[in-house]
Amino acid sequence: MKQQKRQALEGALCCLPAAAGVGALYLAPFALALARSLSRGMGGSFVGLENYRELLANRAFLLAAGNTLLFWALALPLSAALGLGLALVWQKGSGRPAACGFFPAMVPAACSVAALKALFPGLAFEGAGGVGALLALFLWKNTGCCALLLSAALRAVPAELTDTAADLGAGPWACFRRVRLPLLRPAFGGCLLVSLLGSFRVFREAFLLGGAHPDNALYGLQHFLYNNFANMNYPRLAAASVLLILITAGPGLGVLAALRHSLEGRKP
Amino acid sequence: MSRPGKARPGGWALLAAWGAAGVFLWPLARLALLSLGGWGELLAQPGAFARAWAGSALVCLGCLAGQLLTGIPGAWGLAQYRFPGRRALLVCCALLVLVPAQAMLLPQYLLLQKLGLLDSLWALILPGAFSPLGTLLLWRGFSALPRELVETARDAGAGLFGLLGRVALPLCRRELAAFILISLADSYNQLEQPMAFIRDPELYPLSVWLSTGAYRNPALPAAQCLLSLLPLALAFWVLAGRGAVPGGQAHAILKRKKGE
Repeated sequence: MKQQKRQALEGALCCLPAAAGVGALYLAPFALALARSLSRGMGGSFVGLENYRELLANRAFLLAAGNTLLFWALALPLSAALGLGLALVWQKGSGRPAACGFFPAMVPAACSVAALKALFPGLAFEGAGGVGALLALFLWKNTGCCALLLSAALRAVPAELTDTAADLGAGPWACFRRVRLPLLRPAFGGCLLVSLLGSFRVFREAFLLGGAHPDNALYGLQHFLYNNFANMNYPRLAAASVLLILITAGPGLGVLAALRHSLEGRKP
Repeated sequence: MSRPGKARPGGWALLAAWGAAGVFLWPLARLALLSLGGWGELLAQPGAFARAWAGSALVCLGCLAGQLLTGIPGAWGLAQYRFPGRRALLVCCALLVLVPAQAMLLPQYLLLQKLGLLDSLWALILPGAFSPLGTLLLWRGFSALPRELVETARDAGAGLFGLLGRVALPLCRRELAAFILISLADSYNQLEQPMAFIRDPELYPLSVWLSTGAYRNPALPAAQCLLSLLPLALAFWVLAGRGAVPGGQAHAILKRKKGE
């Protein structure tokens, strides 16, 4: 019993800096923003959900949210499909080509914008062409990472499985569709996660290309947040931040609860 | 990791693999071509570039130090011990991975304002001093270490630092390399945070400074971009090489220890 208590104390001490990081750098700021989102004016008088109600009626916010959803509808399936294709091309061999494909993820926004402008000197960043350019930038930076995840999963498929399927008379296509593809499901989940995070990042490039007030088709959540920041409209911005955090973390909590048993795994 | 008897890729497969990689490298090659006329001008007057670079380097190393100091013991504690609050911390880390940086911008601004740290490099280092993703990566690595190995090392008298430095971290090289790479790329590429937290253009890190200039010679910004990419490319080269070391050596070490 005493031994067990000492162990628990040791573990808690190890985790103290990390817990302090979570608390001070994320939870405390979140609490500050939450308080700000429920109040208004210099005195900070309590107004309940008034800021949220106004936010959800704000046309700029609705435009930004709609554009973001549309971008996801295009970008997420495309990066997963292209990633799968690349994973098949890259799954054999040294891994150096795959590493090259991953490298664009690390390129600073200013550089990727400069490269885009060098490749397409006459590019006008507006309308459907602008969305296409943004999509191309996103795929350039993100597909390599998806391909890495998927090719690791492809390599982990046991050879006995595919060999057995082939012995039972499955052709190469059936082997791929019925044996390997179902085993890739967790990797596709990882792809989706990486792409979601990447889609928030690509708005840096959108910002550098189109400025704070771009064409309507390109106005994203990023622009909305930044403009309200620049205008010091903190109550509205706080409401938007809290909403965005809840929207991203809420489904995450659901997924974690569903996966709880498989994530905990081995007990030490 | 490689299967015995795995077929080596043929000529066509190799060509396809490098062709696909070429598509990803092509924009950078185009940028390099454009930059040819700009290097002379950049190297003749490197002052402002060097200052922004130094700021970026400080931010990167500060964030990395903070993330490693919080992340390594944190991941070890989460992986090897059971204590109240452990699961809550894990769930927090996992959820924070999902939250986009932009959503934390105002919350962190409010905190920095309270602390009086706005308009300094601390405003860029402090919010980046803990990495939920890096901690989770290491946690997975540490959790996969064979239990006998850790116990053997403990019985041989290894303390916490010995265990971490000489057993756990060397075996989790890949996770550590990925952690460091993600950390460096993230803090080197910060854009929203400096724009929101810093007013003084003299303090801008390279990522922001690159996007603020206006030049008559289009080759100059291209050269600046490529030069700014150089440290990241070097880090990528070194760390991607480390990450390629196959895992699974734990069992070999364990066998040797048992043999002694």
